[in-house]
Amino acid sequence: MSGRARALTDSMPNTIDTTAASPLGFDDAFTLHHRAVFRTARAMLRDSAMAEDVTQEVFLRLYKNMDTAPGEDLLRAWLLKVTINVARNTLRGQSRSTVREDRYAAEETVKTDWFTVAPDEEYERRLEIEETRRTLDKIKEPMRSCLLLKQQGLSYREIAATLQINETNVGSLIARARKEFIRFYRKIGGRQ
Amino acid sequence: MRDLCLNEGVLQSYCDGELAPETRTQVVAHLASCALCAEAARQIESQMELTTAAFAHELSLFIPSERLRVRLDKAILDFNKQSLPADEPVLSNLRRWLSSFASIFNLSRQRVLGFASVLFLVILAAVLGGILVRQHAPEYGIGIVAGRHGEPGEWTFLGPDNVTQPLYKGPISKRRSMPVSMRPRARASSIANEVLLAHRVLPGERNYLRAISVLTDAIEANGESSLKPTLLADYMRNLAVVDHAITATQQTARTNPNSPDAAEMLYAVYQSKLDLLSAVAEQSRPAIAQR
Repeated sequence: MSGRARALTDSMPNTIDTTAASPLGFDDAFTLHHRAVFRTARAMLRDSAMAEDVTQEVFLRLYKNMDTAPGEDLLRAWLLKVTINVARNTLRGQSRSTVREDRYAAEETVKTDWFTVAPDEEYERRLEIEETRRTLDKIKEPMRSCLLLKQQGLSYREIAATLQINETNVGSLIARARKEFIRFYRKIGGRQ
Repeated sequence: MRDLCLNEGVLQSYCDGELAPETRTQVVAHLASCALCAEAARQIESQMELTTAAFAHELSLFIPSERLRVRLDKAILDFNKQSLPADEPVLSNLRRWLSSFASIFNLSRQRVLGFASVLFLVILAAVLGGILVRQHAPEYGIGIVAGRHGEPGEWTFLGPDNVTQPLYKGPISKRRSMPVSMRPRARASSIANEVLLAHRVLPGERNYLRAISVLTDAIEANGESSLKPTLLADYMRNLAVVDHAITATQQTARTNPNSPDAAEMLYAVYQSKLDLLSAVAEQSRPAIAQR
């Protein structure tokens, strides 16, 4: 980190974390973390269109709070914390729309599949996704979120910061979530 | 040795690579000596693999990065537009100042009474002002002699030859009789002046006067009584205003006979009187047709 960057960091108020962290530009933050934000929102809401709304809201909040948002090492945790809050508010205010999701899925197929995927293959894939989501729904909080965030590649420290829990508990929470997940997953999928 | 075995949380942390180096060394040492814990660690690893595989499809779902970026840029633009005026101190002061009046429009009973009394005073002032202005009415021009006790009133045109020509005879309005102050008066004092001015009628003026008298005759023939009372009241009020303007411009035009602007102004005023008269004539015709 250059001297100028360090001076910038020192002068910035850092509400969550005080360790030295290089300030990340807004555009970089979006490029790096919009996938995690969108995925978390979609996993919670099971609706891509609503997840888009949540993602926009989250990054708009980051834009408004760039000077108080944490540095790079905990920025993703901050973003996901906001994501979970916004998604929860959305869930409270709205009922899920399966019609919307179906339309979105059709659009997605057109956009992503460069070579056409066989219909049964696509069906298989969507079935798998549905099973995972239903399994995840059976797990209680905060284990559920712990597992979800872990699968997105977050560190224990980030998970603790996102869910505002003690970092030393994250390991056992994930262990319990993992065991629950496997149990329900086998039951729902009819495996073994 | 059961109580020395590692709990699930520590094993999970070990498998996730989240342990601090010294703890990690201890765990590795224990796993090497404890078959039970080593088996548990293997199980955790295989279950984590299964979980990751289950999430793979969910995580590989399409993410509309491009659209998200476009939407976000638009939202930021909107946000900046909204917050920009707030950054300007002058504008925000102005807005605060204006918003301080907003409470005025919250109508309570007291406020309504307050407004009503202010309105009453304004109307009173306007009426008094109107009476004062009329006391300084022009010395010649078109005037209205109101009929008394239901007698027909009279529209008069005090022409340049100082002969009062009746323009209209008949009931002016049953509801509103014209104030006495609108009568032409002080004629005698201005006779000499008007006789002088009469010789200086502008070239195009006669045509206007002729047209006006034709239209007035037409309205008279159709019968003003066919007009609605409110319309008639409007007509007379507008006519009084136009006549007042004619008087003023006539005076100006005659004292400055060489000024093209004054003549232009006089013609414009005549034209507006013509417009008014023709509008009234239009209105009174359908009423005739209906009969």
